[in-house]
Amino acid sequence: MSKRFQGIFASARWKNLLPVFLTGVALQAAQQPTPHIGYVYPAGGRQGASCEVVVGGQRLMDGSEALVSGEGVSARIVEYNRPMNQKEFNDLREELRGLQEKRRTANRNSEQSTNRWTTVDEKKLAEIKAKILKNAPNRDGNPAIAENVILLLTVATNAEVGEHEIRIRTGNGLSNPVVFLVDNLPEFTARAKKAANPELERFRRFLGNEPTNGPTKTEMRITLPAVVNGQILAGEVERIRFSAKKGQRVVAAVSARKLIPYLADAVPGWFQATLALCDGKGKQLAYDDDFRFDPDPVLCCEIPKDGEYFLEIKDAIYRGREDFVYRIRVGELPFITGVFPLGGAVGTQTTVKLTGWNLPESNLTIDVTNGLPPVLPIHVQDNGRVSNPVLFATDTLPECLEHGTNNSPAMAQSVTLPVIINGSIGQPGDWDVFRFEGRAGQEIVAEVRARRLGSPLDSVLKLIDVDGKPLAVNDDFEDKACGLETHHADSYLRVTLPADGTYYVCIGDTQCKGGDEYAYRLRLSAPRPDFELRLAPSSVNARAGASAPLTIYALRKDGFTNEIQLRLKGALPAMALSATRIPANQDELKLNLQAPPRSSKESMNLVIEGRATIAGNEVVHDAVPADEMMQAFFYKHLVPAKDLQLTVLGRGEFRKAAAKR
Amino acid sequence: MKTNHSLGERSLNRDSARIISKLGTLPLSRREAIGRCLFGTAGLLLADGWGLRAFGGIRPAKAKSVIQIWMWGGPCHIDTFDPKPEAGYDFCGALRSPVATNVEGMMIGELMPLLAKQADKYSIIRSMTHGNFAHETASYWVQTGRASGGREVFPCAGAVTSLFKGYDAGYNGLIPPYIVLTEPQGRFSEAGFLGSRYKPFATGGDPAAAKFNVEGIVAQGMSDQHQRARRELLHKLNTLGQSMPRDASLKALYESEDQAYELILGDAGKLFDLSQEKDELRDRYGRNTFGQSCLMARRLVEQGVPYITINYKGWDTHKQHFETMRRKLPEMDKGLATLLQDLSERGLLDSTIVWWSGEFGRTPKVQWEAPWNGGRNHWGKVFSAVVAGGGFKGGHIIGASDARGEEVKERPVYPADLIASIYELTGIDPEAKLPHPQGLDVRVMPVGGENLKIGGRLTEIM
Repeated sequence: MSKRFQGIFASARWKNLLPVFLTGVALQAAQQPTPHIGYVYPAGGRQGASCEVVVGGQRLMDGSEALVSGEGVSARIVEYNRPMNQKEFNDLREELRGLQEKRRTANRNSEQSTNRWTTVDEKKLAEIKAKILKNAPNRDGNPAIAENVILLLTVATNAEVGEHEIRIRTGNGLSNPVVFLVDNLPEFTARAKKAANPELERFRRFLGNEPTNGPTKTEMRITLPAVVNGQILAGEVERIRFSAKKGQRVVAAVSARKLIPYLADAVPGWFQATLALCDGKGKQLAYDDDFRFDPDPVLCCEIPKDGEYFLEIKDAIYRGREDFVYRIRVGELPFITGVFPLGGAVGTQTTVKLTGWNLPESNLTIDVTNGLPPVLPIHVQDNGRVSNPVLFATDTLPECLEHGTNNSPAMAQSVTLPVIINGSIGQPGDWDVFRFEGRAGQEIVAEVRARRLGSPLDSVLKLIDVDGKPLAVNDDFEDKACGLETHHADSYLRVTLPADGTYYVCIGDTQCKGGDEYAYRLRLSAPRPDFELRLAPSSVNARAGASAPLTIYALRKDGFTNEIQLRLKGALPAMALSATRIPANQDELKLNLQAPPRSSKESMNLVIEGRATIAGNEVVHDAVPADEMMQAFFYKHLVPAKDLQLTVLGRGEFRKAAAKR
Repeated sequence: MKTNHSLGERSLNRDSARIISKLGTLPLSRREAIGRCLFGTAGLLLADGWGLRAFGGIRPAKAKSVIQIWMWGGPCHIDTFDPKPEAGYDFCGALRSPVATNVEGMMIGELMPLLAKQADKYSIIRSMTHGNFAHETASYWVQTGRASGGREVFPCAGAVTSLFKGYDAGYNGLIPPYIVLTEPQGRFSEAGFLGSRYKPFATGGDPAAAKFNVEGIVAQGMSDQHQRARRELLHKLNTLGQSMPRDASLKALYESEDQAYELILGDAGKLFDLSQEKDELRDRYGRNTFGQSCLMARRLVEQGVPYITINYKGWDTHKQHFETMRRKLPEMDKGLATLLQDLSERGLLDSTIVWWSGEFGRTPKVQWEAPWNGGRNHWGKVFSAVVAGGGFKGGHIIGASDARGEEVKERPVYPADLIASIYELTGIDPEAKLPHPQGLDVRVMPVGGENLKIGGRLTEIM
């Protein structure tokens, strides 16, 4: 049951807003126009290389610094652009007309006139033209991405492959973070684009230039393997041409939604890329819109004969804008499509069977040591070519594998609680049934982790008694920790058993699909009360000595209701939180962060931890920084960020920056 | 002839159905051209009704006509008829100085000074609610009175009025009984299961243009003389008609043609000629599409058209909301205030309901952040509607929203309450049966069983 557009705040529980601790100072700070990044292009770079990166957004003027998370990527701002306002344009146009008139007069009376046309005039004329052509006024433009800064970005040879985040610091504070991917493949990057601007076209006609507007079908030539960077404007289709040999197993994987997960002002609320692979004559060999449940398409194709081929990328409904940014990894690259089992018990060595394309090995042994995170990304490498990352879960409970013949209560697989069963819905329409003995009044939890670990399974879970009477059924269960999911496909049940006896837990696919890759982890245990914290925004801007508002979300698990104590870790002495506990049963808390009395040119990395007593034990979790992003005008999601950055500005900086605008 | 069938078989009386049946076997060429031009408009108008008498539903009425001003996209309640200056900048932006009206204690948005002078003519409902936040479903709800998603697609108020007060009820005007100025919404099926016979006639064109080119009635770039000449030429070329001068079927077709041309070249055509109005009055309405649509609506009311909708676009202000308010609200203020005053001065307001509403209100808390930059999102929890004339008392406020305009504080009014009140005043029995294609017992308004929240009709102002 697809709930693709389900939002994190859809449930009524989250609408009960709690006491608000905003002071006047904090409110004022919240209204300051902080810089905003809409997109980064190209949205990635190669290890050991430098490139120019366009950061499009709003209020980026006076950008003083570009911060890139993680090790090995540095950037400096080299240019700032914004569309000129009408007055600036009129002044320049008048100056231009004056010069043109002067040139005409000088040409008519070349001998007699004292009004000579000079090289200085020629240079001035060219400068004005270039200035207008570069930053023409644009009343039709989208203000949220109308400005840009150009970065010169350097990626060290040892920079970590994968996701980094770019933020821009201006006099108004630090912007939101936007994803930047580091890879080790050669990169091919099309020129940065600007959406059609009628005012620019009018000026081009005035100059006698050809119009530049209109959708284009551009083409780029590459050699495999490669990463291709591009942008799609409205109506555009882009082609990427390459040569390939018979038998090559080419993988092409798009990152588009991965780069900018949610667009607030578009429906659907992200760049919904489609990808086609065609031979030299244009015959389509492969096409993908979504890769399973992921909006970013992936193609795998064995090349039928030596020759020319091209990829074609566009938006599914031909939308486009500067922030429709993509990267395509293409070549004979390793690509993992399936993992089994999806996790392992702490303290064991787990051998994982991998399926996919161009994999150097089909088994991977993972040493699940204590201290590993509950979910970790794994990948394989083939001659230095890194595969896509896939997720692997770890847990402290005993684990077992599903037996193949357990399709009905009569053939149910017997298990003893607590347990995590690693299984898969092997065929379309298949059900897996597990039997356990329960006691009257015993509370049990059945939780599926599949979609959250990348499995295509859309699970449904049923608990039935020995007579076949259903006691509980669940299809989808919203996990607010998964801000990038819009279809919370995993199932969850928490039930108090009515009597001593035999019970059956049945798991299937809601859409009656199945196959080896439809793997799952099914936890059957007593409730394990616990919590996670999310903290938004991830860039906090405050004036020296003042405070800034934050929101902390408590994601309570397995019926956990206790209060959670909050603590600022590693902060300066003058810093403080206006509230230090999330009361019992409360899911959301708005509070203020008191900033230190002095401003700083460096942003500060902060951590807020939550501490709660669960069954007599103290449990501590750090809050995960996140940003509230809107999807398609309505749905809100908490998207995790790499870190929480506090920027402390001088007392007058907001005002100065506002005055400049 | 498929085109005609697609207009709705019910729109054809027995004769015309027979004509179509016969003509269907003929190689149509010139006639088809006429048919397509004229039946499209006139076929709907001229055909006989079906079976309304079996359903009853007509009562004595205070209101003869309804002018529905549809604020397409959802207008902000806070910046129009439910100002909240105390809520502060984050809720009001710079619009924090509501104006007093000619009704003591009634304040409205500062960008509507002319409407402030007409407040005694209208009442404001500040507690409209349905809780729906999507355009399509909320539009459906507000205009049909029912939530979407059930097995039936219900007709909107205009289509129901067309059923009970249109041709089936003896209306014999040449102008269709349900007119939309100028564009149909396209966001829901106005006629629902009643079928295309009850869909509105959308004029197209622009009443603010030098010539209001009404779709199918006033042809673009063609003079009346030119139109007559073309008709004569067609008749000369009509060898079929000349060879069969007494054929009854063709005779019926010619009668239809005569009436259709009357629509184009006769009084109906003149009705849409706004140059017949005084310049001073046209200026007062505002020389823009909305203002002139209001004037056009008054002219249609004078002709006895029972239901007129002005689809007024541009209120879906996700971005740069306040800039749009400053541009559009004065335009709306001028058009609506002049309409109320003009109807009143002509003695028409007592028999004409003016209903102002959109599908919902807008997010009370302003979204200052990118990409909205001072925008307001959809808000279905509480919004405002305005009613005037036709039996509705003016100068009253019904219900209230809370201090920030976020929730209903008192006297919730659901779309069904408002529509049922309009029906009552227009003499349509809300409990009358609707002709359902499968013969189900479906009433004009929900009567039990449909599990729809209601707050009660607007008896306070009726």
